[in-house]
Amino acid sequence: MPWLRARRKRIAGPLALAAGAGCGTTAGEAAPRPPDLDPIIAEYERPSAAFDPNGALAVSEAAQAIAGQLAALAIESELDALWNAFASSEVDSTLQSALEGSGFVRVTRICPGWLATPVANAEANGRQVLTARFTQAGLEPTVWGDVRRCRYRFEDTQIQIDTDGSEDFSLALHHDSDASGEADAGGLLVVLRLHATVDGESSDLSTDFRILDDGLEYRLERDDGSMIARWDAGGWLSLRATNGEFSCDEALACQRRGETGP
Amino acid sequence: MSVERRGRPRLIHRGARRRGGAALACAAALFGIAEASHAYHEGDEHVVDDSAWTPRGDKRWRLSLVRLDYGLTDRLSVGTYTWPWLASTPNLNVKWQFYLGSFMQWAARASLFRLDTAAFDPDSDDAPVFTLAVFEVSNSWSLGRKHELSHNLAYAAVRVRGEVTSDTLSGFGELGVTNLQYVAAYELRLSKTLALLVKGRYVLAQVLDGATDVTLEPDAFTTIEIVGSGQDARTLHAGRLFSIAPSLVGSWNSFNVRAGVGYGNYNLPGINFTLESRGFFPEFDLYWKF
Repeated sequence: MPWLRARRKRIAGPLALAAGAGCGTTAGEAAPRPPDLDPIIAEYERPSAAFDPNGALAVSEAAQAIAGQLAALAIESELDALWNAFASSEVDSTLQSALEGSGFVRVTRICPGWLATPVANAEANGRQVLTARFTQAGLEPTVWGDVRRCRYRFEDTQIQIDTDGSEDFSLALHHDSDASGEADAGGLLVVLRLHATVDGESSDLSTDFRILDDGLEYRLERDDGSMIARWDAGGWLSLRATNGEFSCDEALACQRRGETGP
Repeated sequence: MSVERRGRPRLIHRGARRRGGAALACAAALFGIAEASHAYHEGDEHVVDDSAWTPRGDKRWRLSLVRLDYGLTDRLSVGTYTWPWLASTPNLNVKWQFYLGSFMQWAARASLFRLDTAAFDPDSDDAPVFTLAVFEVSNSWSLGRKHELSHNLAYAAVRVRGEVTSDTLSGFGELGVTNLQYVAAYELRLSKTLALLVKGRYVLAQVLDGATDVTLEPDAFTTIEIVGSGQDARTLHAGRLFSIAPSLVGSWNSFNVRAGVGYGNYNLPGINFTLESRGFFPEFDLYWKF
């Protein structure tokens, strides 16, 4: 009875509405909206700046500056700690047992502080907050959050990171899947909008980079757009620009890939 | 009285015969009055369940295996399911026959159940609470002296809300099942004491929905809050839930019995929740009218 099946679907819809509105369960806090990272993601896929091999030194120095700042902040270890909270068994089991629906997960982590033994004191040591939305298909690809006066130690270095106030978020993570649908196969994009203090010296860190299986990629903003830089296993600088892909040796002599040398 | 005759003296004289006769006549009259208030399948006696009829006439109380109803008037009744009270579940239903025509009748019925499981665990701070509401609209057609056909549309909503509080986990969860059912009931009066009753039930839609707001604290540094809601109109296989149940209804002076065998997905009476498993199930009920 196809006519009945069709009517049944039409009945289920309003019934679902009646169940969900007034007659149904309370939905709680509305799910927050993630930041729009599409323009940044697009730049990694299709860089918009052209590379002039004569300017390889400036490009290399810009990329090294970003890498140096990230290394000084030991930002990867902090991101690991946050991501592990998201991927914890408690979150996983709660999401598994929750109704197939939609909502969000919010992880708040008190920063460990500058003492040798971490202390759970949000007032003194600050906190990081990460939020992710989920649907029936699982966690959405963008996780974003805020950092407020977060203090931690890396070896003997005292580090404090805070929001730079330029956007609604301090950091955002976007995990991409490839054509096969496997998560993280396209890399993990990290967007930072931070103000950092390292042993008393302050600087802004408003940048983004992508973590791949074989290293990091950095987006370098130029006058005419962005290009993507990375170091390969041999220590050579690789660049992706709108005018092609380039490889530069230790002397920063660059060649477009596919071209043979003199 | 004659005392000359041998044997026992005759104790019953004419006056006593008159009184005995009067008593018999009164009994007959009373029986006649009672018979006018019978539960037989005739006249103004109708099956009340799954129809637009309410208990009426002189016998306004109706007690079955699962329910007690009282006709406040010929068109308004109140009732309660008896067994849930044993499980600390108060419940009440009201049925109003808002249209009474010569061959068509309409009624609406509303039921409410509430179970607070704290009644079973007084020390618990987070015992879940179940609330159920059912609303039905019924229509009955009198198709001659022997045939009656009823249609019912029933909407039921069950909600359960539980709160959890522990060292590492706190929050609440709500779960609900909402369904819409169509029930048809056909009564064929075979005789004044026997009727055939056939009921068909079809679940038009069944929706499972829920909401949760849970906070986890796996360690001193980390707090994880999960807020979600969802609906799934597929989970309970709506549209594949049905049943058909023929039964015979025997009616006597003030006592009725209904017995039969149904096939399909069994519907839990009162709460109107239809089970997913399908098979044969007994149809049986006894009820008294007084």
